Amino acid sequence: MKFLNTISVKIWGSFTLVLFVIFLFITIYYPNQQHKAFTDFKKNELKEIANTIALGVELSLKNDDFEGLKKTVELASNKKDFEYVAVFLYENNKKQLLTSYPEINNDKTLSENNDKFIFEKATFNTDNFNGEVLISFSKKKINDTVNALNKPLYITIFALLVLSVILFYLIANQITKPIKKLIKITKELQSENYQTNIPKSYSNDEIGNLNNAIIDLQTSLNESRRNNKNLTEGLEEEIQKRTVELERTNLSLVDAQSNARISNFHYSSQDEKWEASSVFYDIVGLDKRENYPISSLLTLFMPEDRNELALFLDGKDNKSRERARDFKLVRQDSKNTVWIDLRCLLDFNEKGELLNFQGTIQDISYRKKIEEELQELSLVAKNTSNAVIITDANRRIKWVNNSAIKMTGYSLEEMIGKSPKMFQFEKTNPTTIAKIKQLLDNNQEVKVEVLNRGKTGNEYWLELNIVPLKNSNNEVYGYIAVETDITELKNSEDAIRRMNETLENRVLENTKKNLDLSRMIVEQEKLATIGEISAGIAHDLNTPLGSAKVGAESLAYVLNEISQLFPLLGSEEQFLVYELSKEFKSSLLISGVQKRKEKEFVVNFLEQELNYEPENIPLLAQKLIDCRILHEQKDLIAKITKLSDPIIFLTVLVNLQHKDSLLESIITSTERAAEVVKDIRSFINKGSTPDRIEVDLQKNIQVVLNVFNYELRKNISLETSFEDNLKIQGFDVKLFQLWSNLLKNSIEAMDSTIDKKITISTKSIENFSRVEISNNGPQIPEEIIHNIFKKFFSTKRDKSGTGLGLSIVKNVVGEHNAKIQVISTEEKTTFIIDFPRINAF
Amino acid sequence: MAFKMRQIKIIFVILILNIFSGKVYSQNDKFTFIANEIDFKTTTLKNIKAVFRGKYSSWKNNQDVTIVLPSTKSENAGDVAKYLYETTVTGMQKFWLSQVFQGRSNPPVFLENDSEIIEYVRKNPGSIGIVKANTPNIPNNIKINITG
Repeated sequence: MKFLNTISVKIWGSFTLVLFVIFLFITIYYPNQQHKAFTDFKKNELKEIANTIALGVELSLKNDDFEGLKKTVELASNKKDFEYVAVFLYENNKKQLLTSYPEINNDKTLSENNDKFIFEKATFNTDNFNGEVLISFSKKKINDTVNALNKPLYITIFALLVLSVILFYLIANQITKPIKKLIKITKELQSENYQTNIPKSYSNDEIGNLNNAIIDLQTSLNESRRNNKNLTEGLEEEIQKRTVELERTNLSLVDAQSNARISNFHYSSQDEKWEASSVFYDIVGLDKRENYPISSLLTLFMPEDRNELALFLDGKDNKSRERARDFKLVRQDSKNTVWIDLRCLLDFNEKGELLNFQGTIQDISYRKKIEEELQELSLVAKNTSNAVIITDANRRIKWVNNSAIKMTGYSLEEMIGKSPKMFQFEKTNPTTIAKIKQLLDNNQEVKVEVLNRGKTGNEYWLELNIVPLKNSNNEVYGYIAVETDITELKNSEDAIRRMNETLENRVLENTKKNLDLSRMIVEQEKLATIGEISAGIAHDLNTPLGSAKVGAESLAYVLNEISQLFPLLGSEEQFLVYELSKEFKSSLLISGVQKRKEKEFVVNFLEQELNYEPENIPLLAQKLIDCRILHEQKDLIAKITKLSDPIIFLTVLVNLQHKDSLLESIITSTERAAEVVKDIRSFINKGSTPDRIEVDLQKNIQVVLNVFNYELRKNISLETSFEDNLKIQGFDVKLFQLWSNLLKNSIEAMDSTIDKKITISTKSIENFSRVEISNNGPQIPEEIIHNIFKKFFSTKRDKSGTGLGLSIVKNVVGEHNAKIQVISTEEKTTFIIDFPRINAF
Repeated sequence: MAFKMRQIKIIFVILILNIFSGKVYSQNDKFTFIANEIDFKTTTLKNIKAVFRGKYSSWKNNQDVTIVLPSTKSENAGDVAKYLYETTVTGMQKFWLSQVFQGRSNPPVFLENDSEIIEYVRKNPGSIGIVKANTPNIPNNIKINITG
């Protein structure tokens, strides 16, 4: 392709192309035209021959002169170049070949084959004949003739073409030779070989001019090279110098950034690349060596600021691209907060989405702190009751606070630019004024009392404090004066003194009153304590008395039954029941399982050995078990079954048994009440406690169960399981309180339960003697379960709850070095008390 | 023009054999054949018809064969056409048109009556003609005897 782009080829190729087109035109167009002309000529000739032959035929047939026909045929046959000539006759509307010359047998040849032949026709007519003469000429012959005619032309043209191409090639080469030479020179110049020899051209054509122009260019380039060399050397020096300066500037900038705690940054959302100077990482407490995604950097902002940040970076609403705002960040290392001044230039796309942003982040924590302090100070200065006046170095007022305006009566505008001397007047002590001036001239603080006058002529005493304001060079750039109005102080020092005395008296009086009050509070606290103790005492007393009351009520019920049923028995039966009541004692401390088992034996005995009436067996068996007459007492059972009414007999027996138990319980309860009273007495006698004794847990609990027997019998199923001879060291009476309160609490808890059930068990576990008391009352909510042992906490305020029951329980447990826990589920609530074993106590 | 010389020679030998057979038959038919300076005086009808159908273009003595026939205007034309060419007058014309066109034969001479025919034959050596048998004044020297 490079070859095709050379000038030589362009010149040579163009001429060659033009010649080729011309020769192509000649070799195609002219032969075609010749062929056409030759064909037309041949057709005319054929037409004439056809006409001549037709005339010969016509004459020969009309005149019987076949000699003429022969001559015309001979005439035609002399023209060797026709293909054939034929005579056709029209007979019966059909064209039939009569004869042809030369003779042709194949009719197809005679058909007018326009591809191969040209045809001409001539008709003849006589009285007897109508027909036509057809003469044909081969197109191939025409082509051959034309080709033969043009063959020398083709050869000549081809030779001319070849010669022209060679000639033009040589000419083109000759034309481009100096150009190539110039190109070579130019390339040498391009490769900075400016010393190459370029011969001067004396030709006046374009190439000669170009040659001389290149010589001029060479001269110019040599000159430029020298200049460039000088310039380059100068530039290198300059660049080196500038580089050093730039490095120095850069270091200064880094130092400046570091000192000013300012960092530049750039963020591109397209590649999510965050770039910032090292100060940034120093500000936010991150390791510079790591890469942080923008999302993690956003978490540096305080959560409450993140919406503000989103608005800050928002591109909608055609806001300005330039943004600046202070934000608070959390340092990632120390978690301390740091204030930053964020200034950036944002780029958005057409949809308002953030593309890039760049700007600076400056740690302004110190400034913020100063600002806050200044704000606070400013607030103080503004709102303090003291007058504050600030002046410049020339002691001209720059700013005053509200109190100063109020004190002097002048407006701010009236005071600005004036000297504070405007407040002094004839009564102002000149010595004081001189002192002020002297101190200020020496850049010292002033603290004096001075009399001034306001706008309305009001005179007022001031305690004046003036502090010179100094810059870092210790130059005074202003003064701040704090003025306290001490007019009243001055005018009423006596009154103040008197007031002070009065106040002192009042203080003394109040102190005395307070001491009295303190004593009262101590008394009240004492009373409260006594009240609290009283509530406990009341409860302690109430429990055995309640038990006695319940026992008495139960006893009344039992005696009533006895009095109704006893007369129904015969005298022997009365005697027997009485004897049996002494022999057999009913007990509530029999477990349900045991009772069922005993009942089963008794039923079997009644059924199998006594053949007792089946329908009465369950009731009779139950009564026997209640009376503690078990199946081992076969003779006695047999005897009872033979009585007139065993059921009434047994009912009386069980009531008699209960009567004894109840009486015992009442006695025990009243004794216990006495014990409580004894306890109270012990308490009152400060610290005297009942003796610690060995307590049998089963017996101790049994007493309480006896007391609550009436309540339990009414509607509660009681199940007990006691380990024999399980004893603890404890306070008998206090344990009564413990069980009573837990039992009472259980009964009350099951108030709304339908099938009420209480389970009590004792057993030894490792170093503990455990008592478990469960009820199937509602679950104690989790939120209050931790409070139930607290004093005065009650869920039964609307009923009988005092809030002391479980508090006493806790106290008693504590006194026994025991532990109590409560487990409350939907099914049941269980109190578990673990007492230390005797040997471990 | 495309004569086959071998065929001509064979026919010529046959004719010679006929001449020397010595058996001459008088022409008592409707037509009499006349000829001038030809190679034979006696021949068969078949041979003579062959001559009239343009089979030969020259005689043995190199004389061109000139066939003389009654023209289409002659009253004999129809009979002669039928007798010699077994066709009509126009058929005979087509025959000769084809023959002459293709150069197979010399063009025949058509004359209007028998006397012109006789006169032509008498004056033109190599010519052969046909006239009615009863035509008067037919010179004997030009008559051709037909045998068999």
